[in-house]
Amino acid sequence: MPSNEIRYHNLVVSHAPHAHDGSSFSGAMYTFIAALAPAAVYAVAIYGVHALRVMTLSMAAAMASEFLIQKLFRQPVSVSDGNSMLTGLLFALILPPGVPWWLVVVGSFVAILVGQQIYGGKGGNPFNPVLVGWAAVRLSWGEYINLDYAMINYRLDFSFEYPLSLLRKAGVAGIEGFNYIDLLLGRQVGGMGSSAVLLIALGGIFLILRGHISWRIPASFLAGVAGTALAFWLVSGSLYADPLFHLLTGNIMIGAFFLATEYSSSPVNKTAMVIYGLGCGFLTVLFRSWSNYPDGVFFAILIMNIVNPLLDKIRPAVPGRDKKDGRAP
Amino acid sequence: MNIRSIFGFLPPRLLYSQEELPVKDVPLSGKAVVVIQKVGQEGPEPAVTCGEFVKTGGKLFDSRGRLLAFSPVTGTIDEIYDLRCIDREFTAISIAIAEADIWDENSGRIDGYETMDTGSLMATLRDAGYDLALPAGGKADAVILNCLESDLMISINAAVLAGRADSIRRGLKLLKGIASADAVIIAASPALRERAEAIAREGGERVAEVDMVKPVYPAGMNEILPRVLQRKGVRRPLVVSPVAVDSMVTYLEKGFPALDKIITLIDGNNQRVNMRVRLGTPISHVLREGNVRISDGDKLILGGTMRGITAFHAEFPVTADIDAIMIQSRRSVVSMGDTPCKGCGRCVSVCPNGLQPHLLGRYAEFFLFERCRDYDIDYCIECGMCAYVCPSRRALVQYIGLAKKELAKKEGEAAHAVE
Repeated sequence: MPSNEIRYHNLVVSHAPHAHDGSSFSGAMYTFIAALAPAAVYAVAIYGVHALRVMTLSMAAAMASEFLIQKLFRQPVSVSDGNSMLTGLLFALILPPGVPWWLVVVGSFVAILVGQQIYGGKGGNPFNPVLVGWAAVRLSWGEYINLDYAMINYRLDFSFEYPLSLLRKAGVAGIEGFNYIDLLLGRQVGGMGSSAVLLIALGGIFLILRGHISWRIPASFLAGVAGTALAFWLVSGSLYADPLFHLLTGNIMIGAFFLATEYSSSPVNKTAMVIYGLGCGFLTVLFRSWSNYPDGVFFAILIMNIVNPLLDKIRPAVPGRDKKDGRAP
Repeated sequence: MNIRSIFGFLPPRLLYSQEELPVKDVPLSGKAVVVIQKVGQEGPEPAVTCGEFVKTGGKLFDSRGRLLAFSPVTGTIDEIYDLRCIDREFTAISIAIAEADIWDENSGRIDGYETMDTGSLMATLRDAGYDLALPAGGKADAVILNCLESDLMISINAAVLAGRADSIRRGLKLLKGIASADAVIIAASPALRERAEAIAREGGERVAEVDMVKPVYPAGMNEILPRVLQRKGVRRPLVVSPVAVDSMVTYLEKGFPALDKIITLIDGNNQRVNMRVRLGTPISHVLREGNVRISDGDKLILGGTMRGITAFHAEFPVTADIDAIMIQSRRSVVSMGDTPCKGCGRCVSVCPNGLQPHLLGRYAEFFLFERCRDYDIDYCIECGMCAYVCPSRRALVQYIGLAKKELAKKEGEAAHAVE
């Protein structure tokens, strides 16, 4: 080396780029939580301390599960990034307020363990963890979260009957009493937060504006619901509800904006996102019309989660690549 | 620059510098260093000895008599040693600079280069280290002068276009002939419109088109530029930079390339100044002249923020391909790592080539390099946009670089086995 008088500094060496836009995963997660806050406040306003109990318990259980599992598996603990908090909050918001405490704990635990950690943690899960937890409790203890009876002990200033159950059982005649403005404002029975349709949608739009989710999945989800419902409705307006009723009831909004857009289980390419959203919407209305379940949103999303890796094979064209060959020159 | 708007759904718009910076002349330091990159184990062996006297512009040959480099200064060779800079190894020839700058009289104008046929002109240029990236077949549909900067925060082309207009105009004419191109396009940002127009006109006659390009990174990369021109349909261009064209013409006219280089010096507070530096000047001297302090924990970046490479010492010399020297202070050093990918897809949405950086990163992470090839890793131009936006701060470009290197190594071994 050259002469000795040179003073060498301990410089940092790294690969390009040497700048970052400052975004972070935890920032995204807490923005999601902030976007859900209005719906959570609404749930407390309507259902009181019960809603608060379920939400706090669910978030705490999810965070504790993640912490314990990561300790047990000797993984770096990443509870502070807010992901498990969001999982717990979303899980609570789709439950009725009167569920027993153990169901909340079991659901959150299953969501974190079976939904996420056994696949290697965040980013590895093929399904939406929230929906895995929900499916587990729905199939095991369905009567506890059955929305037909869940609200029977509440004194609400709106109908305590679940609109989609009425549609299921009594057909279009059963839902004539519902006013669409009431449905939009959340004056309907459903998941404690997911029934606040307008607030959820506004939260979702906030996420889109902040760049945390793409508009393509929610838009195509809603378009899929509206389109399929319209087709059914045109076939028989007396058998099937109109598209607007579908859009304003059940878990469509929380599904379209918050559940279908979960990072790991949704596509990243533009065309794939649109197909995925349309598929979710189509299956939702199909389940609502023909299946045993009053609301098909969650199963529709879970099914489209399975298709997601396949959909993501639809990639944009790479400029300069020979389309036939597909290989580099 | 690192600010995201509240409307984050808009892609990040990283703008090239539009400001013209004052140019400061850097006097010669006591020594200059010529570096020759080693190829393989041995590398070219320079045929010089310590104590030899070289003149400015003088040719340095290797042991087989091939031209290795030009001496940028006049002086005595006082040391020949190995120099490393990141993953590259060099043979360094240190020259103690004499007081008078004597221009070498053996290096002269390349006679009759205007009338040479394309083949021998290209051979002449190649011998001097000017490898023209002509499209396959040797014919380009346009020669594009890329007047956007090579990276963010760099601002050298305004000065180059102003000072070397004649030389660049002549170079473009020459290149048009070599590439048998139909058109010459000067691609520039609006701030350089007048400078570009001045080159495009020769005595009232228009010799080139001027194409205004939005100065949004990575439009200035040679691979991207033809696609963002207002003129559509340029498929097989020859893209050149003003600095390279000027250097090439200087070589043909004088027998040695441009030995002075304008670089942007960026200090730890993002204060910038342009410096006119003799090639071979050690970076530490440039930093001293620019009153830029460097301390432990800083990053010394050769190039700009998005694509520059970091050096671990400041004894490397200024070479022709360094457009900027940047000090990033300890507090603004970004750390990137191997946090797992969350699958948010932001990298996909910003990739200018429509690739899948998240998959490339994951495959490379788990040594599945062949899969990277199936996902078009060869089309990655390493612009750095994916790593710039990654919320998990994954070192995506580094992963991609690793995979490319491993694939090339595997191919080299396969070719060797066939022999």
